[in-house]
Amino acid sequence: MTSQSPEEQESVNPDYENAWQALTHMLLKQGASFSGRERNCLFQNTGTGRFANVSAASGMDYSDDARGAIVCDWDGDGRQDLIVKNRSAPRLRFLHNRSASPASWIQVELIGTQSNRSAIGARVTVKANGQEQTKTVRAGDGYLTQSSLRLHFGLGKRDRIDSVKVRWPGGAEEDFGPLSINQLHRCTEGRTAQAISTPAQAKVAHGKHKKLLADKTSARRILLRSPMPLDSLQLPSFEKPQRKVADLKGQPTLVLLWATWCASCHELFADLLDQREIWESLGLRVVLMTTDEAAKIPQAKKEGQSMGLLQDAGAVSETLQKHLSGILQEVLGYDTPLALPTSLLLDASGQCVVLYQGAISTQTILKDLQGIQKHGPILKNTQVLRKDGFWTTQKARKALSF
Amino acid sequence: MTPLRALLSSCLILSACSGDFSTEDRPSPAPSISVVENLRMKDPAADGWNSEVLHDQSKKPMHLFLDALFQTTPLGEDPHLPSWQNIRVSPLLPTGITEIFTGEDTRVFRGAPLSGIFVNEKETSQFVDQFLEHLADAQVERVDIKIVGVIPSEHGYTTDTHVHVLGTRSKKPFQLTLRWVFGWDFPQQDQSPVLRSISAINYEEVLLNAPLFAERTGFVFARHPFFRTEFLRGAHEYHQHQDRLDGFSFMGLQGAALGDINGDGLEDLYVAQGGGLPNRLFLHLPNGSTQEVAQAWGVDFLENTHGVLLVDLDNDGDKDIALGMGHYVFVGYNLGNRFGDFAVLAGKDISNVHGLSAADADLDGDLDLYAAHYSPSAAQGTLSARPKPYHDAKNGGVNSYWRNDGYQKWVDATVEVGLDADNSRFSFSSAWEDFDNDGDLDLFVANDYGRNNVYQNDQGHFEEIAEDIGMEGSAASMGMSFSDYDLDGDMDLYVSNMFSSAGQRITALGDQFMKGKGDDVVKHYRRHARGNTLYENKGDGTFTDVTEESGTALGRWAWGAMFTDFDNDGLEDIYIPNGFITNTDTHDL
Repeated sequence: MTSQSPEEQESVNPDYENAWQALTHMLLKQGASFSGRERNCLFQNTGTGRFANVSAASGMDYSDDARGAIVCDWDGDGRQDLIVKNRSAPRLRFLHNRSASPASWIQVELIGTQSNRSAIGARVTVKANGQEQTKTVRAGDGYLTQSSLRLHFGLGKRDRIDSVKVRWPGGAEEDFGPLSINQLHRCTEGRTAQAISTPAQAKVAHGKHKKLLADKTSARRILLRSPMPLDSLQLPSFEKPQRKVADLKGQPTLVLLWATWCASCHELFADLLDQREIWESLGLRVVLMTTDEAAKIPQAKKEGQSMGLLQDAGAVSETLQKHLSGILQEVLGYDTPLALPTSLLLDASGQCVVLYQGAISTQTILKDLQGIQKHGPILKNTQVLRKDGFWTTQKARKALSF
Repeated sequence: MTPLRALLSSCLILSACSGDFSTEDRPSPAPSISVVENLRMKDPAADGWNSEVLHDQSKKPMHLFLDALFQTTPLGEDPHLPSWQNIRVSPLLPTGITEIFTGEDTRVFRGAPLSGIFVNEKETSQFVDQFLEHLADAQVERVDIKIVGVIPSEHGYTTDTHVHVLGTRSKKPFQLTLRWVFGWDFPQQDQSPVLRSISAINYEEVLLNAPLFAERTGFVFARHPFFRTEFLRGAHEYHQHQDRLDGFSFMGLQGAALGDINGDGLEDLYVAQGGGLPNRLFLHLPNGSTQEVAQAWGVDFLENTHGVLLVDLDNDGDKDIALGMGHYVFVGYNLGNRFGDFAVLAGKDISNVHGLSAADADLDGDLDLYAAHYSPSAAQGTLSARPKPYHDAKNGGVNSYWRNDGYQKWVDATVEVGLDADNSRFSFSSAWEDFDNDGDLDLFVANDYGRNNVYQNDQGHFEEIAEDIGMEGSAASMGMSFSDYDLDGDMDLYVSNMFSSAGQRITALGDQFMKGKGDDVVKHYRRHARGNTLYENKGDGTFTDVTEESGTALGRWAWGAMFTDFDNDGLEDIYIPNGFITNTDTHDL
C-alpha cells in the first residue's frame, strides 16, 4: 500500500486511496490482523548504555494491543506499578510491581508557590552516597497519558541522601537537604520538606480479586445516538399488505425479525411471553416479521397464532429486506447481513431508538420501554435511556428515504 | 459556577461550540470493495513481493525446527529435527559468556560478539552440541519468532529472524534473545523450503528470580459491575455494536491521567473512552481499590476522548481537568467535589484533538496547554485525509498552543510564540522537557507518517530545530518518554514508533521496492518501519541515535513506551506497550 503513495500532497493516486479503503475494510470486516499479537516489552537498563530484553521472563509480555501506560506507586510500597490502557480486552490493566529487590528509594512531591502549583517542569536532582540522579515533573508524555506527578528515585544499595536539589520552573534553585530514604516527601517551594505517609494498601498485593472473565453474551443493545424516523418504511402485515410504520404510531412498538428455524429467536420469544403482562400494561405492541421463505410462512403464521401475536405479524418482503439492510448500514456504518433475531424498538412516533441483536433479555427491553414511557411519548434525545454518561452535543441523523 | 450540563445546553446555540464531533476512522457507509480486490491486495504474490511469499512459507518449518531444537515438544523421534550434516551452522554460543549485569531481580549474560560466519561444515554439530549443552538444565516453554528480512539469492534465500526463547532454569524465569539468519533452499512445488544454514548474530541470556509484575486488575478495578461489560470487551467488538454516530473508533486511541483530585493524598485515575462509552473516574480508596465517580464529578462524557490531564490550572491547590475531546480542548475546574466552570477551547483548525501536555511555557506562573491534532480538518474531506506523501506527510491537523491568561481565559497563541512552524503533521502527542539545560521547557511533538518536531524555547519564543539537533529521522511516532537513563545529567529520549516486520522485509529489497524513486525515498521508508528510537543527549542539546547499540530497537509496534526504574537500582528501565490490531485472523498483514 505504502508503495503507492504519491510524492506530492496534492496528487491523488487512486491505487493509494483504494489501498487505504481496502485496508480499513480488511481490518474491520474481514477479521484481518495488522502487527497484532505483539508481545509487550520490558527492557532492563544494564548500566553501560545497553538494555537487556526481559519481556518474557518478567511476565510483562502480554500480547495485548497496548497503547498508553501510567507509571506510579499505586499502593505506596516504594515500587513503580503500571496502569496500562489497551485496545484489546482487558482495556485496562493494573500491573503490580513484585520486585523482590531490597533496594531503597525516595519519592518527592513538589508544590510550587512562585512557580505553577503542580510544579510541572521542575527538575529534581537527588544525590545519594555521592551519586546523582535527575528527573523532571511532567504532565503528559508516553502515549496520551499523565503519570504520577510524584518523582520516584530508586537508590539501589545507597542508604544516605546527601541532597535533594530542586530547580523550579524559571530557574530558582533550592536544596531540601538530606531527606530520609524509603519515604515520600512533600517539598513546597520556599519551605522545609515534609514527610508524607499514605495508608498501607496490602490488599493491592494480596486482597481477594475478581477473575477477569470476558463477557461472552452475544446479544447486543445498540442505543441510537439520535432517533431514526421510520414513518415511511413499508412493514406489510399478513392482514394489511400496505401497512407502513406510520400506521403503528400512537404506541411504542417492538419490531422483531425472526424465522421459524432460528433457535435464539425462540429463546427470545419464551422470555418475552413470560413477561407479557408487564409489557402489555406499558402499552407495547409486538410486531413479528418473519424472514422465512414462502413455503414456511404457514408455519410462521401458526407460531404467531399460538403466541397470540398473529394480528400485527407479517413477512419480510424483498423490498423490506433491502430497507432493513439500509437501516443497519446507517446505524453500524458498514453493510452487514441481517442476523436473527434483530429487533427495533420504536417510540410512539415511529422513530427507532434502540436496535437489539441476538436473544436480548426482555428485562433489557422493558427498561428501555419504561424510559420511553417516562420521557416520551416522542423521544427527542436518547440520552434519557442511558444509565450513565452524557453527550455534550446532540447529533442529527439524516432521514432515510424508503 | 456553571455545571457543564447547563453550560453545554446553551453551548448548543453558540456557533463556537456547535461543531461536529468527529466520527474519526468510522467511515460513513462506504462503497463496498469487492472481495476479489481485497484478496488481490492481501496476496503478496500479486503485488510482486516474493519476500512476503517466502516469509509465509518459512514460518512453519522454522517453528517446527525451533520447537524440536528447544524440545518444547516431547523429544522422542522428532521427524522435524533435520540431520545436522546437511546444515551449515556458525557458532551459536558466544565465547566468554559472563554475567554482565547483576541486579537484585535480574541477571544478564552476554559474551563476545558473534561473527555469524560459517567455519567449516565439520564443526556444525560441535556448535550445536555446545549450544544445547549450555542449555541442558533449561526447560523451554515457548519460542517466538519475528522475521525481519527475507533476502533471495541465486539458489535460495535467507530469513533474518529474532528468536525469543522463554522458559525456566532451576524453576526461575529464563529468556534467550537471539538473532539468527536462516538460510533456505527455494521450496519445490508444494513443499516446504529446506533449511540449509543458521548464522547466529546475537545472543543474550537473562535469568530472573521471579516474574516482576503481577496482574491485579481484578482487585483494583474489576469489582465494578461495568468493568466486565465495558473493559473486558475489546474496541473491535464495541466498534461493531455501536451507533456510527457515537464516533467509536476501533483503533483504541484513548488516554488516561493520574492525579489526586480530592486531596486525600491518594492518586486517582481518569480513563478516557471511545465515543458512546462514558469516561470513567476512579477514586483511589485507602485500601487500594477504587470507587467510580465520573457522573458525580460531572465528567462522564460520552464523546470520543483522547488525551487527558489532571493538573492545577488555576493555582488554587487542587487538580483541574483538561480533555482532548472531539475537536476541542475542554478545561474543567475543580470545585471541591466535582469539575465545573468548563471552558471549551476551539482552535482555528476544526480537527481531532489527540494528546495534551501542560507546562508553564511562558514562565508566568501558570500552566499552559499544548494540543496535538492528528487528522486534517473535516473541511478538507476524506480523500485529502490520507497522509501524502506517506513518509513525510504535512497534510495533517494543525496543533494548538493555549496560553493560560487566567480563570477560564485561554488564548490560542500558537502563531504568536512561533509554534506554527511545520505545524500540520499527523501529530499524536507531545511532551515538554528542558533538553538543552537552559532552564526553560522545550517541546517535542511525536508525529505519524514523517519526522517529529522539536521546538526550542528561547524566552517564550519557539524555533523548530529537529533537524539541527539530530532528530530528523523519519518514522511513524506515537509517543515519547524522557529520562536521564545514562545518568550524565541531561535528558535523553525514547520515541515509540511503528515497527513493521513486513515493512522491514519489503523495504530491504531496494531494487524492487519503490523502483526508480531513488535511494533517499527508500531509505525513508526503511527507517519508517525500523521501530523505536533511543536518542542520547550529548550534553550540548544535540542528540545521537543510539538505538542499535543500546539494544532497544525491537520494541515492536509501540505506542507509549515509558522509562521507569522497576527494580529500584537507580537505572531507568523501559516498558513498552505495543501492538496495532489483533483480530480473529492469526495471519498478519
